[in-house]
Amino acid sequence: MGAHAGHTELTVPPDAAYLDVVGGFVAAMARRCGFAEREVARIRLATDEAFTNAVAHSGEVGAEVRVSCCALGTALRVSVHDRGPWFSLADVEAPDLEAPLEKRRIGGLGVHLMRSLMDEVEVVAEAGGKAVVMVKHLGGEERSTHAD
Amino acid sequence: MQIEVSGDQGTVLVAVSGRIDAYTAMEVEQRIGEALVGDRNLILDLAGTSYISSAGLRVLIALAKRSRGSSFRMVLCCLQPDVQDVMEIAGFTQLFDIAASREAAAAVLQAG
Repeated sequence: MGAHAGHTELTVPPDAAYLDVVGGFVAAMARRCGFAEREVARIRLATDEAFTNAVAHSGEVGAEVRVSCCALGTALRVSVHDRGPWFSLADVEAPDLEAPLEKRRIGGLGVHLMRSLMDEVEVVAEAGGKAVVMVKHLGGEERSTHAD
Repeated sequence: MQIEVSGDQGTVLVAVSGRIDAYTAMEVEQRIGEALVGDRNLILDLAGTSYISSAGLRVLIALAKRSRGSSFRMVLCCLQPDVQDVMEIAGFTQLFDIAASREAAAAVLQAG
């Protein structure tokens, strides 16, 4: 992994039109940390899900969403901060992946994808809002040869 | 994101290119819905779909439920590896007929 520590942030309007901007930012940071492309894609999608939730549930109209990336040595922490109310992940019902089509819900997969794609996910209450905090660890087989 | 619609009297072919995410999902759903007038079978070609999020999965499962409740069948084809990955994580691969090519998708529909 590249020896780059540090914290980088991006603040955007609460608008799904900025998904590609947020995704590009997180993907670039993940590559700098040394993640292989498959894991970069997973980190990007997990962030997409958290950002989409932030846009949908942000408590104040027009309140910006802040996305931060922090290199933690052998891991990347991505946090999505918004002005919406805190919620408990434990209250989010996991989808029944074995259920037949007629019993599957339309929707409700965002949290499941975050949990599946990242190694750690938590929702942290903050002054005026909350942050969805996700961590992905580098594995030995995932080291890329990305150069700066 | 681009959508191309083609096909014949019995089957509509919809090819989606680009991303299916919260920003584009509504348009994808609308365009596919417009193409399905007449209850033709549907082949959804995702060869050009590089990315799908839960918003895109929502469109797919709504289509699948609509298909189950009516007389048209649908087959997905040409999934890129990242899209296949997400479909597996969501438990969707068992809910859909998925083919490797348009020809294979057509064969699935012909087999009945």
